[in-house]
Amino acid sequence: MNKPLILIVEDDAPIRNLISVTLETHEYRYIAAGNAGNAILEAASHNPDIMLLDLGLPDMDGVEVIRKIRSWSSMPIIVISARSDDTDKIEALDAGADDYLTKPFSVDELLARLRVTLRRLNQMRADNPENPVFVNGSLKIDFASGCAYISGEELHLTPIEYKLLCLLARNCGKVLTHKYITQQIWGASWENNVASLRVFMATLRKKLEPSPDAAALIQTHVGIGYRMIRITDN
Amino acid sequence: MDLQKTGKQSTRILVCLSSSTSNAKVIHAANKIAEAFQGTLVALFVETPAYAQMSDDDRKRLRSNMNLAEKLGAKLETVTGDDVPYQIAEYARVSDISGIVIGQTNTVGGLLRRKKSLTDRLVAYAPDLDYFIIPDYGTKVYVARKPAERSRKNILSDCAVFLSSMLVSTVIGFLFSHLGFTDANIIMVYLLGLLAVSILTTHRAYSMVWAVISVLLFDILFTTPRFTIYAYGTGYPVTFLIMLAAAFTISTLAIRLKQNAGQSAKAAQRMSVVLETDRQLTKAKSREEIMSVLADQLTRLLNRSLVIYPAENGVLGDPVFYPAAGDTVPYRTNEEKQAVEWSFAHHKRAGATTDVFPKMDYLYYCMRVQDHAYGVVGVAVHDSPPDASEQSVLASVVGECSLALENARNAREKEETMVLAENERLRANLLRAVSHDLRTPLTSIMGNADSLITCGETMDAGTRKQLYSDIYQDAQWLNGMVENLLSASRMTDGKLNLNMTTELMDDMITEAVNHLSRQMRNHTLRRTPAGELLLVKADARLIVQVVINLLDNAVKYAPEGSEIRIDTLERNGEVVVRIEDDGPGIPDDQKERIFDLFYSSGNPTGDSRRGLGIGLALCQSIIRAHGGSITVSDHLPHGAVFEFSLPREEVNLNE
Repeated sequence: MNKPLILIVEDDAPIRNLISVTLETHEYRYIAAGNAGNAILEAASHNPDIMLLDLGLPDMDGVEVIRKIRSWSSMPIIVISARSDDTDKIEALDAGADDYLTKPFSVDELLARLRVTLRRLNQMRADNPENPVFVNGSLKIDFASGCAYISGEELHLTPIEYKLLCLLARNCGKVLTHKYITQQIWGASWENNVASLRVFMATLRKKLEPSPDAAALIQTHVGIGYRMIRITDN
Repeated sequence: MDLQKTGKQSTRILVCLSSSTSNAKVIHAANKIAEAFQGTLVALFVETPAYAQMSDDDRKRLRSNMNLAEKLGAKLETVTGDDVPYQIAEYARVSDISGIVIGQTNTVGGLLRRKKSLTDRLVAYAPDLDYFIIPDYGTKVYVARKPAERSRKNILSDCAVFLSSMLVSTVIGFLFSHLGFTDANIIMVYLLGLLAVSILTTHRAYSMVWAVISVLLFDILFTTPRFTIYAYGTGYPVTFLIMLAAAFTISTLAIRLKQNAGQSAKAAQRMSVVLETDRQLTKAKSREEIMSVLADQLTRLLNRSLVIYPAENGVLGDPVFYPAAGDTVPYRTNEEKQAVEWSFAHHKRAGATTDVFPKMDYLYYCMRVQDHAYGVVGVAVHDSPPDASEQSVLASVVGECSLALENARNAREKEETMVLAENERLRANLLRAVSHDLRTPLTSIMGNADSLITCGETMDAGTRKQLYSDIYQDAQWLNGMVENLLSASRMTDGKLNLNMTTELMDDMITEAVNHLSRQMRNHTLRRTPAGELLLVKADARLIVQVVINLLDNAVKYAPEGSEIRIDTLERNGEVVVRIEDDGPGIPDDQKERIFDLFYSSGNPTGDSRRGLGIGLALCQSIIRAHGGSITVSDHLPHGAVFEFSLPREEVNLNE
């Protein structure tokens, strides 16, 4: 398979350099852009596999870049945010970003996120969107019959838990914000729904516990949302 | 005349209000006098028992006189009492009045005191005051007029009382006469009956009729010759006359007693409402609470619909409507707006019963203290204007509430300034400490990087690796510091900045543990989560920071290879998190100071150990801002236990 092509959008030269060097030493191809205008141009002309996008750009708000890209492409976008405030990450995720990294990040973290996203990308390309069965590690969901199994055992889920599991599975690898999830499940994002979500997610996890990879299956992003991780077979 | 009494802020001139047409003239004169002395004008109305029977014309005149006084800037006051000059004198005494302006013929009706003029009696009561007599010829002040109509029901019940008293008295009289008691006893029985009639009936005519009839009955039934109007005894005509006079006096006294009782009851009720308002206002702290006390008390007092326009920063807010029971007339916000705005802008009364927008449904009072208006209160009038004493209580309740609002505002401003000053002090200290503490790791990073750049090739691999890892660790320390500073900056901006959501305590601990996984490589971590789901309402980022700081401390002080434990539990409605380590622990004398800003265990000024005391201080202020508490204690045989608690949150599941 070809080496994946990553588009780095970062206005700060030392960090752009750091990322480029890291990618180069780990067998990725990359192109780099220093502002939003170039980023959109590069994205359109090279059609990269993944975009690494810094939210604080000089010429345009990062979230605006995501919206523009999303209007014609579903390429995975990982946002890089320097602000410790969660709101900009949530805004970026709601606008269509797939994942986020907070500065300062370690090289390991960057590579881990890229791997997760690449797996998601490969799955997206391989999956038939109408595939009635979802398999991830020991978890299996049969959408047609509305049943979920863990290591072959059927799970007894409440309707809301099942809806949650399906929602996470369909967006496997992508960080889903609380707002997005509550709107999908209850149709509205009220405070009480967000609180309920915590409880349902905790009970759902408890039910998945028999699986050896349960702890890693659903990630909690405190203050932001949840994500189902694609479990690798090795 | 020396009105400029020493030690007084200003001269206070009192003018008495009445329904007289010439009263306006007196008020104008009083205003000129007050201006001449550069004093303040107080307009006083004495509400007497006769007030209740005042005709509509008189009421209207009285109201226009009141409006006039108010327009001239006088402070309106009402007192209740029977004896007008006494009430005026008393008021003047307690309110530091220096001069009284009065119309000469301004006497108030009252059957038993016509001999002396009001002024004469006033002078007798308060000889020290200065008097300004304004001649006031040719007009009569209101004389108690007979009420135009009385309800049929009253007449019926009064007649019943009258007849049954008469019957009972006469029967007892016969009984006494039969038993051979003297005439005097029978006369007493009739007088007793008279007393009952004058108290129980609503009009004094019954007492008068009783006086005449009882004399006649006594004459006919009990004096010899019986059953004629003749009486043989020579003393009887005198007896009749005395009986008549006694009856007349008793009835007058009884009726006055009754009226006074009714009035005192009313006054007492108003007084109790004012006192109750006072009591509740001392408890009310926020603007909303004060407004609701105002609404409660006024609806209780007046049984009228109420509308309150609160004002913030000089801008009127949306009205809050408090309808009285039975008031179905809708409030016309748009039509009434003009009066409300006028009242707010001019700090005066407006609307119904006043000269300004009299067509309105409501009477508006501006809640103000000196030049600051806190809002406008509207009272429904609907063709039954509040009487003088209602208005006076209204004004005093509104005044009390305005004062309370002013106090609340002052307290808030004071608190804000104090918080601001405290923040300023903290910020200055923080900056100083931070810039000092940042230098140490920066020096190390710069020096190490410089060595690697200039002579990296000549070093052996081990030395190079040591320098690299030193740079990494210092950078990591700096990063932790920046995280804390960011959290601290959000904290100092106040509680409002907290981004409160309902979170699972264990989720936040997991997040903190993941964050520190690299630092904790050399320690074992044991977690004991609670059996149930523990939710808290918190700013997740800040609570995660608290756990990170506490864990980081444990990692820093506990020896490598030791165990660090995190327990989550529920205790008395609170979620408790305990973090225990096997380090050296914290000596008792340092336990209290450990949460102080910039306090670092060990040598506070030494550079050897980087432990800028911001971490624990930040933990404490974060936990406190969430309504929780944080403590430190000993872990046996050695080590420290940090424990923090947050109020537990319950959730209604939306299934």
